[in-house]
Amino acid sequence: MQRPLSLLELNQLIQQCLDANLAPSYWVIAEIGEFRDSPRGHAYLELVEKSNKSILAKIRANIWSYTYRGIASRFTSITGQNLKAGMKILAQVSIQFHEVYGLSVNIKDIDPNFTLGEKARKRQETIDLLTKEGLMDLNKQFILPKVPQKVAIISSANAAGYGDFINQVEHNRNHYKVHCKLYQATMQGDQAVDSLILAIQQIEADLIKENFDLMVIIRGGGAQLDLDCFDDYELAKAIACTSLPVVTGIGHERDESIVDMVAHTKMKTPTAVAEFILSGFRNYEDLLEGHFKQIERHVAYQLQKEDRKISNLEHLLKSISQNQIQRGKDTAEMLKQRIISQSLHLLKIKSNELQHLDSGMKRTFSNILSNERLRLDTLSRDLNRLDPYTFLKKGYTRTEIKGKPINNLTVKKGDELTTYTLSKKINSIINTIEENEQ
Amino acid sequence: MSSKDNFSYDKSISRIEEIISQLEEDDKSIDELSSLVKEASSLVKACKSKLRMTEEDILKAFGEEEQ
Repeated sequence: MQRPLSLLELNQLIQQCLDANLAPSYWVIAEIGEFRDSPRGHAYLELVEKSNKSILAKIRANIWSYTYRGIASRFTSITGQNLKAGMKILAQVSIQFHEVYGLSVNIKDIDPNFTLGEKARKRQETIDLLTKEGLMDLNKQFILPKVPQKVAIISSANAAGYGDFINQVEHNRNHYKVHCKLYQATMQGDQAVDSLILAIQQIEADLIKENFDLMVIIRGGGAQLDLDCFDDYELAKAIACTSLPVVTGIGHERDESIVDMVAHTKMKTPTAVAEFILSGFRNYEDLLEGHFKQIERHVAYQLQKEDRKISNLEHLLKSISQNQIQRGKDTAEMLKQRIISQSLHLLKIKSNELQHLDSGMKRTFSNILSNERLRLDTLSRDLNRLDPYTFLKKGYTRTEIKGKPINNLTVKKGDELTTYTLSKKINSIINTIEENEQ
Repeated sequence: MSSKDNFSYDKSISRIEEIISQLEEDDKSIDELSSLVKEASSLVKACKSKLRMTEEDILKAFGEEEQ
């Protein structure tokens, strides 16, 4: 039996063996299984190789702080992201074995271009898969709401981009009111994908209650790092399959993320998204204003038309009434003339009648007068005839006995007679009485 | 003038006619006859004057109206 070695001797033997047989360094392709920074500035990693989720190989690795600073800054500037777990890298390593800490590799360099290529390849795979599944343009088939008033926002409450967005929306010049509801999500790093998908699910759950018009995914401000989550297949699928049109404002400077590609509309920044939403309001307002103008023009035209109609009617009414008045005046004038002529006619008739009466009366009077004269003449003649002096003048006498004419008395001898002549009164006594034969 | 106002043409004429018929009866004394004739003659004169005045009045009245 061999002399037993102390553990230290064994470990020293392993170390010698490794040193003798291995090259000073190797370029190795591996995935970062774990990654952590130390307070001293060193990086401690676990490198793995996987096949269908099962680990085929695994080794501890470290990058000393001096080297790490150089590698990290170069890596970040080229790939746009920090070194982290899950990343495939091409690293130059030297194998080291420590008696206490065992086997590990010390990373001397990392080629960022490998990771970049790897990332691009993975990205293309995702794009191909999404295209094949018809998810690439699914969300684009939504018709954007004309005025998106209820907006579900996926962002981080304390992200500068969210603040920009809210500021832009709330202080818009036109004072449009946009109802925003924030669904908080982690916007970068390892947790981002799950967190974003969860937020989308929450929005879907609230959809009926909140009656959203639009979903907005925004981030921004801070480092342009760790945006790999926005190239994730599951997240892209969730976005493609959501029931709302999605607008992104993730702020990729380099190139479009897959999330941008599957979204309905991609804007560069949250501010641009806000502006995009507001422009919908503005377009709609312009449209309304156009309609209003049309209505206004139409109304003005109608009013003018009605105005003309009314003034025509007014004119007509005026002329009709004037005609009526004139006709009334004419009628009145005609009646007046008729009254005048009729009255003059009547006056003439009455005057003729009067004239007639007058002359009739004159005639009657003169007839009466002449009749009366004739009557008086007759009476005068009768008086003359009967006047006793008329006889006496002719020489006749009148004889009476005791005041009575003798022609009506029986006379006898001895009666006393009184005889009247024109100038004498003779008293005598009857001597004889004889019959007068004449 | 009161005698003129009281004068009645119709009564006067009646009186004249009455006198004439009395005269025609011829049973009055000559003195009565004489006074009756005088009365009738004066009545005839008054009546004639009345007629003349009436005529003048009428003519005057119509003449005024025509002016």
